Amino acid sequence: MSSKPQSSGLNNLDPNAKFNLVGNQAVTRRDIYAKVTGQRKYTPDIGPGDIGRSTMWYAGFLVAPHPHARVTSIDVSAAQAAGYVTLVESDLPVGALFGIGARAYPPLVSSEVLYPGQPVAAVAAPTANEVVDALNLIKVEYEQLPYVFDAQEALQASAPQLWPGGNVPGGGVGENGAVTSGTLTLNLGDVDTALANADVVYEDTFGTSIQQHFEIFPRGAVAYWSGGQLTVNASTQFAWAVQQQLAAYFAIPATDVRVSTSLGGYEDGGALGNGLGNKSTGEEYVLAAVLAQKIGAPVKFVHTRLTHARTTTNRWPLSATFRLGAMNDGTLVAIDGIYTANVGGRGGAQGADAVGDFYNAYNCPNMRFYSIPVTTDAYSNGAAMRSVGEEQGHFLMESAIDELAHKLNMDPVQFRLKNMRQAPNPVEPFANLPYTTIAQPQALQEAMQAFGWSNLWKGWGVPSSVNGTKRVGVGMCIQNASKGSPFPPSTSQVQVDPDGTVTVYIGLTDHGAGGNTTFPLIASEALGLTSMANVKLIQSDTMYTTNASVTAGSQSTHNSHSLLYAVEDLKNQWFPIVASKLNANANNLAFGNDTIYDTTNPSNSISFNDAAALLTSSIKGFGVWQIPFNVAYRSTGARFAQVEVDTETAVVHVISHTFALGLGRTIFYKGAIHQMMGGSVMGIGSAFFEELLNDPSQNVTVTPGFPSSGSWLNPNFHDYQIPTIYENPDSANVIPVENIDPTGPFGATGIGENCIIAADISFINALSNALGGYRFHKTPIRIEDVVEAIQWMNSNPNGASSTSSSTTS
Amino acid sequence: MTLPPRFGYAAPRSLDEAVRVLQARGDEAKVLAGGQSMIPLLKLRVGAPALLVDIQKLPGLDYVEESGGFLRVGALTRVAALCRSDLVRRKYQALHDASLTVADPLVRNLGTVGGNLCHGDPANDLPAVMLAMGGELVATGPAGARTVRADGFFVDTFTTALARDEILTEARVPSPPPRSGGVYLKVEQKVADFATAAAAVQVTLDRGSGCAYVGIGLAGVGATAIKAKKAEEAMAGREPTDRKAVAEAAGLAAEASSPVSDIRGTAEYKKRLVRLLVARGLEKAGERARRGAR
Amino acid sequence: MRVQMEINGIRTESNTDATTLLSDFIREEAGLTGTHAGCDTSNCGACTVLLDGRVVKSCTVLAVQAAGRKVTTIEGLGDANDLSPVQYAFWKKHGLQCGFCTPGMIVSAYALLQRNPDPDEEEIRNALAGNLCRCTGYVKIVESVRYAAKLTREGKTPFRAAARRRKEGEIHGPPGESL
Repeated sequence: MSSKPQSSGLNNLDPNAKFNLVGNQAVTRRDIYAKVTGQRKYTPDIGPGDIGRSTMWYAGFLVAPHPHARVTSIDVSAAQAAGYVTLVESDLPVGALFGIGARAYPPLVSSEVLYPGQPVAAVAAPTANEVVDALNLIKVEYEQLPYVFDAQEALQASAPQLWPGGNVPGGGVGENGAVTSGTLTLNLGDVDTALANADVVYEDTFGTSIQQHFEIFPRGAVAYWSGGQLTVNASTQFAWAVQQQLAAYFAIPATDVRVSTSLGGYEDGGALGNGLGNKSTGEEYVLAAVLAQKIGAPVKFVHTRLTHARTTTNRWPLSATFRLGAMNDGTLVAIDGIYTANVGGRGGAQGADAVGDFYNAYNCPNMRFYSIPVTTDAYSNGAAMRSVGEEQGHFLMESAIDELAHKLNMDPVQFRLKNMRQAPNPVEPFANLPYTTIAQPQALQEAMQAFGWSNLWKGWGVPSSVNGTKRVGVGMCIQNASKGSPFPPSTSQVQVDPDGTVTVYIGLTDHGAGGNTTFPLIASEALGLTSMANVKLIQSDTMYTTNASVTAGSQSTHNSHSLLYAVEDLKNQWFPIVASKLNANANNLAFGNDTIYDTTNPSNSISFNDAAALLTSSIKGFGVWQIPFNVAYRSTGARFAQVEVDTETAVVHVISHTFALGLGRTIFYKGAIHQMMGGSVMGIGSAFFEELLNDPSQNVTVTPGFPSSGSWLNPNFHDYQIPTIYENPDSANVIPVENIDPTGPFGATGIGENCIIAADISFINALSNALGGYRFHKTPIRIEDVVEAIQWMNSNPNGASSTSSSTTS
Repeated sequence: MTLPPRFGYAAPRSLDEAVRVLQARGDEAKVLAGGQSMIPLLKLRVGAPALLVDIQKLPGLDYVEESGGFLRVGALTRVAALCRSDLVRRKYQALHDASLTVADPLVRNLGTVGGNLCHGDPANDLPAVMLAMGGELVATGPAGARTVRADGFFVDTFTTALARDEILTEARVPSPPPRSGGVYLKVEQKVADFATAAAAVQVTLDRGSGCAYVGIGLAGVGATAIKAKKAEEAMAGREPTDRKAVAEAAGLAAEASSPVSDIRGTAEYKKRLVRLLVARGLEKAGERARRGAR
Repeated sequence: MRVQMEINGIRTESNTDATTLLSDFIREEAGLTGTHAGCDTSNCGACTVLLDGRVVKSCTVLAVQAAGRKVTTIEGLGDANDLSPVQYAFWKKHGLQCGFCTPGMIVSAYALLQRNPDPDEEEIRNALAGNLCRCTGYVKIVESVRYAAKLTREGKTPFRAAARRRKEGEIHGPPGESL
């Protein structure tokens, strides 16, 4: 604690400022206590008693097992005769869509199934046990249609056409230049000439696979009606957006819809577990509400792992063919990239989003990007999964960049230092927008030093150590990712009661990232408090909070900037009262160290609680914040990794990982550190395990003992493998880099997605180094890919040449 | 939630009673012990037995003891008990190694030795050990107890030599003579996954350093656990440090395997793993035998 | 059928189907929702409880199999007034994020420390190998267990002191240490 009261201006951006709570390493999560005692209630834990009812019905989906089919008949009579309540498309309001903007869709199949796992019918039963019985009583007949899983195949004229307009969804440029769908072309400088004049040209193709969030907490919703008013407790990151969607669906005023994540009775963020982008919107929110209306009782819907995995957004497979040009001195002169995004059956995903990042990472004068989104029958839809395209995009680009540095025989760190976008004055090149902040080159330099790169890097294809059959390699990469779309304005309120209690009301939620601590922390700091002990939080409930943007795109910290404005509004109501008590000018008053004091005479002060006692009733300040549009929000960092591979078994183990990321200013220290660690380990899954598989097109068999009644192979934790406690690196070193972002509260930027972005390629580059410089082309790196790399290495003892084409002129 | 289908439930109090229940309803009944293989399948509604015969409370089937030249393990012994047993750790290393790799610690606390053997899952760990160690299984039915050699017990995937009215009551392996050693090596994609491939190797050295006994069992690379007999024979009288002999045996073991390509790797890769694990296993078991680690 | 067991020291009895899983019995009949169900395939371990002192996946045990036995859930390890050292350590060292897997993690860690008060990192990983977490990357979970072991060995009970302060009216606990 500093000895002198601090100025708590609207936004303190002084990089050397001292704070009570901001960045304080002792601050712990506010909900952690409820979580370690088992008291926290998540959506599946909500019973009738929690919502003041005596009964509750339970619901589930019947999903189509086929990738592409026409529903010829649905017979629900047996289920109805058994006393269950059923829903098929014809029971729903005609033409009613549910979802966000262009991505709204009918919640049940109307005629054609476009991906395996598309919901065909829903049922409700009086007990959870009976849901499966009820589903088994529904008979659906399908006429199977030709299907296509692969994006390149779907582009062929002979491919099954999934949408009336073909397999490339039409679209255009939306607000602020955001490309909503359709193809995209970006062009800067003269790529062809630059490539023709380059000393080295490297051409190669890389790709990724379908991945799914597989958070342990399954999605769900509890819905009930009181007269014409609907309440939905949804496990959603988007309480306010879901409220709007439900109101539109039922054609009722939004004020008649309450969406909350907190009905279980806990104020600190409530019933939401991990989100990872999966809990944006889902059929269960609206279908639980329709069933509740039909039955006249609360309905609880909790996904099975199968429906959880196959009905929602996925990380879409993205592939890119690059031509990169460089001069012999290591100057990057041209990037030419053609991207194909497999956006799934529901389509409408933003294949172009991925491209949005590549051109920001490197300071290259000639760049051309073309991207094409393609609908296929492989899965539901490509959208948010802890980043929207950047995760895949970084694997693709950082694979190619690393290989280009290899061709130049240049230290990969030096190549990045020479070419990456960095301070001072970084600018997004196509729209010519200035960055709000950048952590480069500081992040790269700090991570390199902490990792000990100069001692470990022995050159391209030369492992840092070999011990019998075990080889250890090192690798690195940088990252430069957007922080989501410019979402709508976000608001919040801060209330002070006469007894000194502070209450923060904010519509944003917490899905594990730490918002439920960050938000009150920001308000408390602005109020000059040294402890959050008397600060309450009401969040993510449309009844008690005001409209908030979404908790997504690594932007909730940015969006909570509104709290500073709410505190400012509070001051305007409160300080005149305090001023008369202190015989001071209200304009000269400030919060600091649990007091309100006169900045012209700091000894003239009153304690926070005494000042509150001057109030005759509670006062509430309101704040609104809109992320400005005319700037580029980027999150920047660097990663280093050390990976061991056994050249006999092909088993890979991540030994260590060093990760430096620009946080703007660290607000909630422990939360930020843990996000960085958790995201990095999630990247191990992305690099080596995770891929949602379909049956017919894959040359793989089903795991013995598990049924494969559909086109899916691994919609469960057994076969879709996420990292276990054995996969976490022996050593994980995360380095928060402070690069003040003037648009964030106290200079902070959000980081959630950026904690996984580029993690995979750091491990893969290290594995490549261990295996003679073999270049991997597709994630996840499966065991046979490692075997192939080992064989390649053994037959190329000098390593260091690639299987892909390159020319030197 | 996915929940089990409806089924009847019987919890006999004695072995006789259990056998009588199976005799009466064996065709539609399944024996439930620790449940760690059965209940996950029930939750997925794979197979729908009309009756579960819960033998968990049958007395006298939970023991790990050495007698009459055998290590005898009661069928209801939890896998975790093998992990904790000093006797098993010292003298039956392959069994101990394998027990430690069965699924995860939560499963090992409930899963029984009998269940692991009777489930007939080719990826299970203990069958390969039984094959390598020349084990026997005691089945109790209406006519009393009979002994079945492990080699011959694992008939097909999810099928064993047990009759429908029989209950596995004991698994036993011969107590290895001095200068014996064993090992179980397993590659799995991640913990608690099915084995990508695994090998159990048991070796007894003669007065020189040649092999007087070699047992090799494979898991996860065929329709059942596999006894690699030709590989065993190839090692007869030869030293586990003899690289040529080991390579030959390992190659024969790989030939004996018939893995399928799946998300855990190609058939070719799995065969390679078998070769490797058997080679490493022979070396390691030989080393343990020489050290007299028993 | 009539099924009776002791859950967290309290005798719980109910008429239930043979098909009822122990996890459902705990959640529905005993009303203890700290025991979570995260998957359908017995993989995630969010449902971990102690059955006669040993950790098991309660979603992979029939309630009837637990009849007459003692079950301990996360709620039985400690409450507002008396956090167990493991709970305290997970709080203090931030061994969680979204918290859904946490009850299972803590119960598994508790069982480990009961039999091994000084586990090394490998032993901790071994003991928690059946519990999945998607948020944390496990780093802080391992650290939490190490800290819990230290507290247990040293016989320290700061968690009780913290709990007392909680009673004095602070909100987010165990406070006094909460900023």
